[in-house]
Amino acid sequence: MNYIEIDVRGLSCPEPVMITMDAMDANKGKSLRVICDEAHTKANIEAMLKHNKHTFETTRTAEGYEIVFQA
Amino acid sequence: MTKLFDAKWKLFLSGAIFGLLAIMGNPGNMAICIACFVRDMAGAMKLHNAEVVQYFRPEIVGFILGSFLISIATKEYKATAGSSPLIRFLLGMMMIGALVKDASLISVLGGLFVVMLIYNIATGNFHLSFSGQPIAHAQHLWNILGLYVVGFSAVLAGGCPFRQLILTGQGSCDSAVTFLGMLLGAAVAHNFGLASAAAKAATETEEAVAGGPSIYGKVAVILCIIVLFLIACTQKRKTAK
Repeated sequence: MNYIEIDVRGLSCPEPVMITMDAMDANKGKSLRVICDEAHTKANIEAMLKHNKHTFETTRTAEGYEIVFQA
Repeated sequence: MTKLFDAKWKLFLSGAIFGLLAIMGNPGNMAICIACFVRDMAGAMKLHNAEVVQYFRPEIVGFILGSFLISIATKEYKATAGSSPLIRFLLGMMMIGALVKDASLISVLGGLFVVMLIYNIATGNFHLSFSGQPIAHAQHLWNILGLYVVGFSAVLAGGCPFRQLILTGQGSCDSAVTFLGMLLGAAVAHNFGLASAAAKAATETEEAVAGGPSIYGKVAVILCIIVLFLIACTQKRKTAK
């Protein structure tokens, strides 16, 4: 499956959530994969996705976290 | 361990516990105020000379140490840095506008509020008013504008002063830089007479003092608002639509 990758590693609040939201608006219906490296960034993105009623899957990777969902 | 505090009622309880601890000796109308505590720490390190607010606040140490230890235990600690650090430093300086005066995290405040309310009513200290509160002044416009500056900088920085503290413990050097900005902001506020004076009721020997910000404080607040708008407008990302 082809994912559109959103790399927010190294960015601090509030950029990761805002960049993800922009990508969701620009790519409605497509599959997105967010790559982040901080625990609170992952938590914030997950909270935003829950709030917008999206299901997602998070995996822990060597550099941090990957969150996969449908925009 | 990460699931330890996920439920709203658990957050409410933590807030209530904070309230109970704060009642055991923290100043009235301050309880747990990170901006005030950073100012006190700046004083303790003699970054400013306002003797009445030079105090080493163990709460600051506790919050950062606690956050650090928990993030080590949950393996979430990660040292990161480099995301617009100087802008964050500037935003930290402006969070000191509190000195001129996720919806899930509101549960913590809820717990704190309820405990404080009960305690103050029980001890006869409660009065529902915008005037006459301890360590505060009644120049409402400047109270509102001061906290407007804090809120605005917190939105741009991605977190209020308390959050910057917790993120620092977790390894975020961007938050640590924001915290350093707060320290310097507090020092500047007191060294240059920007912080407000508390209102005092008239006693037998002294007249009542309305308290409030000096002219320098007012200018500083307006300058901060202008700088915040500049930061917000120039840092907008161009999104391809």
